[in-house]
This record gives sequence, C-alpha cells and structure tokens, in this order.
Amino acid sequence: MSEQTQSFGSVHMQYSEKPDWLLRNPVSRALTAVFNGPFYIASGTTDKIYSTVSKNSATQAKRIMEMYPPERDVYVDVNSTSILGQYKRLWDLRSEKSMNPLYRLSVGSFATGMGLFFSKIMKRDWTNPFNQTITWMHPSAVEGVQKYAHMRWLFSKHPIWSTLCLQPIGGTISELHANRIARKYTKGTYLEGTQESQRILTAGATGVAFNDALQTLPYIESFLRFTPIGNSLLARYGGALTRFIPSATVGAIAGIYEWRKNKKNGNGELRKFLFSPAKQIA
Amino acid sequence: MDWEQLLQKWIVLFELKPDERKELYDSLHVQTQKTLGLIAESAQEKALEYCASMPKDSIPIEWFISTSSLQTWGGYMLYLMQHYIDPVESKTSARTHEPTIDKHWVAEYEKNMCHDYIDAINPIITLFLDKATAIRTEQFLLSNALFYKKEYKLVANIRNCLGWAAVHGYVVGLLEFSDQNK
Repeated sequence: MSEQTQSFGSVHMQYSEKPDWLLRNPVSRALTAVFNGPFYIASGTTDKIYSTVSKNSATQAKRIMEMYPPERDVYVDVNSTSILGQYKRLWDLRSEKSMNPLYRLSVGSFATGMGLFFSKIMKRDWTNPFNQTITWMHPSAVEGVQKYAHMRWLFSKHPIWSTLCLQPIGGTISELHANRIARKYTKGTYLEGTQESQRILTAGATGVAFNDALQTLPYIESFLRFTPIGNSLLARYGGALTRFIPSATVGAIAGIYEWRKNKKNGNGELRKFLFSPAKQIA
Repeated sequence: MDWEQLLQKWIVLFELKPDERKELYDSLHVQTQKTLGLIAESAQEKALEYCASMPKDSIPIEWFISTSSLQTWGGYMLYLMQHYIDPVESKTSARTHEPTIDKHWVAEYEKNMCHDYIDAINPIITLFLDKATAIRTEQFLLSNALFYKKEYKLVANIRNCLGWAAVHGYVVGLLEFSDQNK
C-alpha cells in the first residue's frame, strides 16, 4: 500500500473548489462547529453527549467567529430547498385553520415573525407558537423589530423572503417531528421511559427545533449587524443560543440510545436495521 | 429512496460502538479494505502537505489518519446503506473481485480522477457526503486550536482532502458493485 500511496503524491484533490457556505458564514459556521462538532465527537452515554455539548460552547463559538470575522465574508445564502422543505413541513403538520394566522403573519410582516422568534427565545419559551397570542415581547426585541420594519418591502416584493420568518417557528413545530422520529425508531417506548429519557427527549426536541430555528440566524444576523441594536442583541443573546443541541437527527440518535439501553443490542439488530429498508428496529 | 431516513441511519452508523464498527470493517473484502486504506492514506498525505508550513508538533497527524479513514469508510458504507447491502449478512468478504478493486480504482483515477463515477453520484448523496465533511472540518478546528488563526485557504484545502476521501469511499462502492453486475 505504501508504494502505491507514494505514487499518489501528486494526487489532485480539488474535486470541489467551491467552499461550502457554512464555511463562509461566520454565525452559521460557529453554530455548526459548536453543535455538530462535540455532538459527533461524543460517543457512549447520553450523559456524555449532554455534558460535552454544553461545555464551553459559547467560548468556542466566539473563537470561531473571530477566525471568520463577519466583515470579511458576510454571505447570505437563500437555501430555498431547506426553506421550502420547512414550509411544506408546516403545512403537513398543521391544519389549514391553524396555519392561516401564521401564513398571514409571514406574508404580512417579517418583523413580527422575527420579533416572535426573539421573544420566545428570550423568554426561554419553547412551546408551540400556533394558536398563541403574542402578549409579551422583550423590549429589545421590540426595538429591534421596529428598526427592521422597513425591511417589509423586500418581503412584499420577494415572497421567498417571507418564508424566512416562518423557519424559526417551523423549528418549534419540528419538535413534533423529533418526537415522531424517536417514536418511529423505538415503537413508542421512547416516551415512556425514565426521567433520563425525558431529559433526552427534551434535548432531542429542543435540539431539532433549534437546528431549524438557528438556520435562520445567519439571515437575521446579516441584517442585525448593520445597526448597534442588532449587534447588541447578538452579543447579549447569541451566546445563550449556543447552549442547545441542534441536529436534524438528534431525536433519532437519542431514540437509538434509549432503545439500546433497553434491548442491549446483542444480536446485531441495530446493524441489520441500518442496512435495511426497515422503518423500525425489529 | 427515503433520503431522510438514509441520512438518519448514516449518522447513527457513526455512533456505533467500536466492536460493531470493527465487525463491519472486518466483513469487507480484503481488497476493499486495501483500497479504502489507500484512499485514506492519500488524503492524509495530501492534508499533511498542506500543513507543511505549520510547526511540526502542531500538526495533528493522528487526527488526519483516523478522520480520513473514517471519511473513506463512511463514504463506502453510505453506498452500502443506500443499496441495502449489509456487509455482514451478504458476506462481502468472501466475494471475488474481477478485476481487483484497488487496481480498478487506481486505473479509473489515472484515467480521469474517477469522474465517470463521481458524475454519476446522486446530488443528494453528494450533499450527505458534503455535510459529513463539513462536520469533520468543524471537529478539526475545534480540536486544533492553532489552525484557528491560519488562512482560510489552508482550512479549505484540508476540507477538500476530507471531502475527497468521503467521495472516493463512495466511489469504491460504485466500482465494486458495478463490477459485480458485469
């Protein structure tokens, strides 16, 4: 092997020279690093995942953001597939009746959507926003929203932008999705577990929700950075955001851990499941 | 193809216990193992070339070895998972290769860097591989503090090496099982 490898000394690696936008966008980059990095490094018990992720996450985010200062590469990428997928998920999960208010909200005012997003985070409110009345909003969020109300014209001209404000709300809805994934893999036993499994559920659901929600942050961040209040919001609350575990599959993995704990996985069932078309573990 | 489930299962694959991973690796044909090793080693060597300007003791050689291997193995496993081929059940280790997969891969690479096969990869699979590569790059930055302050180009090059390993791991699957179908 070594001889062959040596003859490959000049191997051409540049099969793709286009840098991933995740690498270029500072906030997205930092969040990806903080959330995905430790999560995938961690293996073993769920406790380990939990502790690894929360450790120094804000510090790590800050360091990576320093590496890619925003003034160097502010790069807005409208990932329409993801956004539209989220939009479709909203339609799939909610009835038309409950969808309507949000639809109007999204089309009518990006600012309100963004305000709702900030408001919920600042209140540590992870509940489903559907059918709720916005009765309280953090003063900073109100101020921020007012500053950016003039952006409405953009959304009235380009409908795709209006879906951006739905994405964080859709993220919360995807808590349901996380639970569904977990149940799918564990035949419902996942929800009936111990206190620990409830904690996993919380981590998983919150993680999935915030994965989706924070995908929107780069866009919002691009706008916020233009003004002092925006920067202030990011500086004050950006670190708090990084204490969650977004991963589109964290629910599934948490489910696998829970299943494994109960079943002890002695006969390769998990392997068979992974390499089969099966939707559930046998 | 249920892409969402494939992605979920693929990510769970990396959460397997070491003995489960070993069982999977041992179930591969020796020629496949050799080819994956060759790709991983090439990626690692190239990454180390990029790091030539760094102080020697700051270069995470062990990290490159393990991660490029994981990337290559992950790419190959993704092919198997996509096609529902359980390497243990299907006894891939006992299969014969005509021609041997390592020579085949080298020949294809020398011809046009395997682009006949790379171009045939489903774009969604490419996204999966790219996502894995992004995650490994983030892990690299998190665990190697000195690289934080280096220029973007260096990190992008290292990222390309990792991505290259994953894509060619997948290509090995394509080559191997297209051989089988001939």
